Amino acid sequence: MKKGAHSINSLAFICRRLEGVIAPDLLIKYGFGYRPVNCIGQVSAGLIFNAFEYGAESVLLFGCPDSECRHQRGPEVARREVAISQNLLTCLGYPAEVVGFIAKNDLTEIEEGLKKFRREKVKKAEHEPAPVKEPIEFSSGRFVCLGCGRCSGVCPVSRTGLGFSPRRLIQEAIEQKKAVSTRAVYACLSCDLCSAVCPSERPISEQILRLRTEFFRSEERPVLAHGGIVQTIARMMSRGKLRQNRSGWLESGLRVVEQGDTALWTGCAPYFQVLFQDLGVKPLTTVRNTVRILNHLGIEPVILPDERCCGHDLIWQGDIATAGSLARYNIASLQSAGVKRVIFTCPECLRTFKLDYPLLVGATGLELFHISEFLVINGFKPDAAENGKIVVTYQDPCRLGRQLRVFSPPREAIRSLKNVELREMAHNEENALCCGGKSWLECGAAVKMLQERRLGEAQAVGADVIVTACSKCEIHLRCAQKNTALGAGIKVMNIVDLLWEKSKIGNK
Amino acid sequence: MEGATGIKGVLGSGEAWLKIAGVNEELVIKSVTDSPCRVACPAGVNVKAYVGLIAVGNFERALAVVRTTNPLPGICGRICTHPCEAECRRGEIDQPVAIRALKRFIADYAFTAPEAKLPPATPQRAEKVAVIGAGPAGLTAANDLIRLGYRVTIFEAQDKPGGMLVWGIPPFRLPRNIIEQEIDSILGLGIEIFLNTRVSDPKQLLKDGYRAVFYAPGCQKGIKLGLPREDELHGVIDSLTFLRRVYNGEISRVSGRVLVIGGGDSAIDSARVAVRSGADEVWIVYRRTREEMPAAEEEIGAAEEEGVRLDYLTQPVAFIHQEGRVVGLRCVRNTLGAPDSSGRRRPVPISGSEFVIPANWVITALGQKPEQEVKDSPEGVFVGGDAAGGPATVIDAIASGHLGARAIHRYITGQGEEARQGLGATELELGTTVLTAVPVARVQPRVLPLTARRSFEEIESVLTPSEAIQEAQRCLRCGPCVECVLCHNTCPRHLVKVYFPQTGESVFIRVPVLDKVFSGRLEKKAGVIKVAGGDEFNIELFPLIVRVDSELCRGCGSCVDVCPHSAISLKEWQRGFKVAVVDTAHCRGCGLCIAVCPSGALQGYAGPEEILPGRKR
Repeated sequence: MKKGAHSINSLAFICRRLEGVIAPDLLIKYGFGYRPVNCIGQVSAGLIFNAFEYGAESVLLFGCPDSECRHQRGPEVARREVAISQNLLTCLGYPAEVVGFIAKNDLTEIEEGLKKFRREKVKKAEHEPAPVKEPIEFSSGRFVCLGCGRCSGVCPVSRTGLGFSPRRLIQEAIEQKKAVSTRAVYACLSCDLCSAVCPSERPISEQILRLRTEFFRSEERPVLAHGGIVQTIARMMSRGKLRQNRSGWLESGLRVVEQGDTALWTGCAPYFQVLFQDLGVKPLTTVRNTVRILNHLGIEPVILPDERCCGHDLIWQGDIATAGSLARYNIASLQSAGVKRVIFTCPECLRTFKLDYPLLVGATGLELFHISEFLVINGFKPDAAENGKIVVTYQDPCRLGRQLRVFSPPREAIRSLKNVELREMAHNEENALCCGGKSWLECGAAVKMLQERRLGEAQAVGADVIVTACSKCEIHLRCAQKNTALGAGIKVMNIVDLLWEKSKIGNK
Repeated sequence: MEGATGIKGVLGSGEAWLKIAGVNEELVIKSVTDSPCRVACPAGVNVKAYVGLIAVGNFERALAVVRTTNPLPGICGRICTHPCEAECRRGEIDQPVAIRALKRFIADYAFTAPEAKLPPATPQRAEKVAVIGAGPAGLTAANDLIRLGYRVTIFEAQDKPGGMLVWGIPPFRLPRNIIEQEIDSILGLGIEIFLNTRVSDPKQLLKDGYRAVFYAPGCQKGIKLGLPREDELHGVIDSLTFLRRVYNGEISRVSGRVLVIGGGDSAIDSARVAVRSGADEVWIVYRRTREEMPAAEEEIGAAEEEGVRLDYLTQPVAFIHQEGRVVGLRCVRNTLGAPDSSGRRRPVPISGSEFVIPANWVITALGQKPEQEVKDSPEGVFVGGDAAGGPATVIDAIASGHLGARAIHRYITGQGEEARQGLGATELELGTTVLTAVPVARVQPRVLPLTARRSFEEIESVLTPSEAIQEAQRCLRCGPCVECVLCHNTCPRHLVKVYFPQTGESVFIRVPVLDKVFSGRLEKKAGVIKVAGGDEFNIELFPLIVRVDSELCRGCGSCVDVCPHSAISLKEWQRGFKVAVVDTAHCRGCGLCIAVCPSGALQGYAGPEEILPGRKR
């Protein structure tokens, strides 16, 4: 946003129908630059967030009144996107009033709205630009491809038949980078099923990651899912002071502390709770249940007041520099809280801390556990729940399973529950199929086909519940269930929620 | 293209033509204000919007739309003369949409849905405004003024509010509980009302602390026939007095033959009330023919059905009386001569054609006039309703109330828009729309059978929700945007970008009948715009399209759910997998699908440019 004579520091999206009604002068007078759109319903939360990322102080959407929308539902969609943006901005520590929707077509009313909006926009979130250091290189090493094709043979994306082949990608990349298409580089799920069968020594996903880093630097970007809002939020977290609302989810009875040796990493839960409410996903419930279980074990975990995104999704987009900035913030926060060990509910955060942070910021010296590991180590013994026997199957998150080799602790935890029968799907542990989560990029037909296949496998073993240890698996499988015939009735839930609900302690 | 006018000036001037390469006919570019029904409505009610909302079953929003411009929907839904229906373009295909019945449906819905109640308005301004007369004009003005923040007081001469709604219109057309409910909801906004308070000098109120006065006392005084002994004879009564006495119970029964003189609405109402009051025979005596009658045709028809006899070309010349009571009317036969100043043919008496109609009652219904003339005064008295322009319809009175409130607001604050109706043009349309819809019969509300019409029970019943939706779906959604859906049969594209290479400017423009322009191939076309002065501008036309990247589509159906134009469907793609497909014939480029797509698979383009940038980041 350039600063002109009128100090334009805000952005207005305007329905084209109002272009003749609202003079640009009026908007400029109140500090708004503007962009016409065909219908105000076209503006997604992702687009609104882009404006904030670029430094807008406020974003205002001008649409027609409901009754006059040429497309009937424009204001409805706009209001929904504004509400999502407001909730997410509140999490980030902005006042919710920095986003607004004004549905008017009378000039005086619009001006009233602009005035009011200016008045309400009381405080401005402070954001200092973060010092961005040179990106830290991932360790390099010559990758030897034998061209055997085992990777393509097992790759679940290749199996969808939409033309992706890891072998071709790797060989093209070794021969000449430019021949590789952006889409191919970002088609990979980084599930590492191929690495398990590769005769070469290094995981293939690491090579993909290196390619993505290069692509990102040369402005070859993927199409981001959900309007890129997750990455936008992550980038916004990488800069300076924030007043995040990181503990708004705490309920009475949950015991947490500010200083201590054990921290609970809450990850994206507050943001996903807003973004995916339509799917009925409740990551915050999972976090609350984790605190309950830890309290039950006599542990009062540290919840960092300024926990930032771990940077996982930025890393897998290729944006190493920003991820490094986030890593430094997080390590510093943990150190200042005196934390020695961190418990994660999210396998992606765990992987990033364990495998990527050492490369980005050096050794962290922290003990890192997934909650299932931690429970098994600490001898968590649930009592039998009295009612209802259920059949569950376990979805291995790729990060937790193949990448961190945590296969048995979640299974042990599930088996410790009485009245719960664990049945394995056709592909499990080392061969488990990915949920199709891809760091919020290039989501599409291949991913959906894969999810349908996975849901089919769960149905084939007669599971009532798919238990997973990752909220992304939960989100993606539930999204796929929206309009698929196979496995639509199967409940998808987090392992923590299952443990809490089915153990006797949770029924008290 | 010079200076201040710019492209929009050129296109909106109404004097421009477009010639597109490969298309023979030249298209007139015109700027359209709104749908014909809304333009026809004196109060500017957004008819298309609420009918459209009823069609999709969203009754609450439909009600909200009606209420923004019409505070008396239940009343208008029953007795409005519906000038909108006369202009309805559906009438060119079969019959107009039953707009009045739909309004009544939505108003009745308001009384059954508790959440549809009006919230009270709180005055935020110190200024007090007085409204004289609690008729439809005064109530509308009071409603608008309190919403603008003024403290409003109504002075009403009668013992109940409503004006002509109560004293003129019979209950079988407009039940009294409806009037009470609607007036209560307006007064419930926080308006103070003094009943039985006649204000003879509105300027006095200005001295009493009111900043402005809306003066709408109506026309209460019946116009006289001007025949000897008209005022003395027992059995001769003017229609307003007759109706008032019947409604008050002072006249419980009439008998024998009742003659009603006049051809307006109050003549018809008096005749129909006389039928219900026990008259053996009711005749309407009118000096011209049916064609010249000012009453609404459907009301005349209803009166006829109920047994009222219409005697045209008959002019009274004297009362026949015995012992101070009327026993007959001496009349003369007319013929029609040349048109007079009102445009109607002047009745000319035929000499020697005198005859006598025996009668027990003669009701004169020749129109009304104000009891006292008051003009707009520069000091803050604003005259509205019937008192300003003579007797008119309820919807005219509502329009007058709106205008009065806006004028008062402007007078007090110096702010606010000039009073005007409609939205004003914000979009441009090309050419004409061809009406080619399949005829669908209009849904008519059920009415009481003739045999049951001996009481004052309401005749017409309300539409059921499913009937209302069915009827509302007949609406063609005319207007500046081609929302009538008819163009779908003829035109693959609706929204195109017109690019002016000279200035680099571009505007979006809607094209209803240009199937030949893009004929299935979505690429740019060259054209020329000619304006009145003879200047020509070369332009380029780009179609607006939404593209689906099939690989990125995960077939979740979010776009299908949100698309308001049913343009997107899921179609089989590969290996049995379904992806979204946009039917370009129905897509209007609104882009709602772009906002809701979780994977960014949909993107809008106009020419080579993306409509919204920033998908790739």
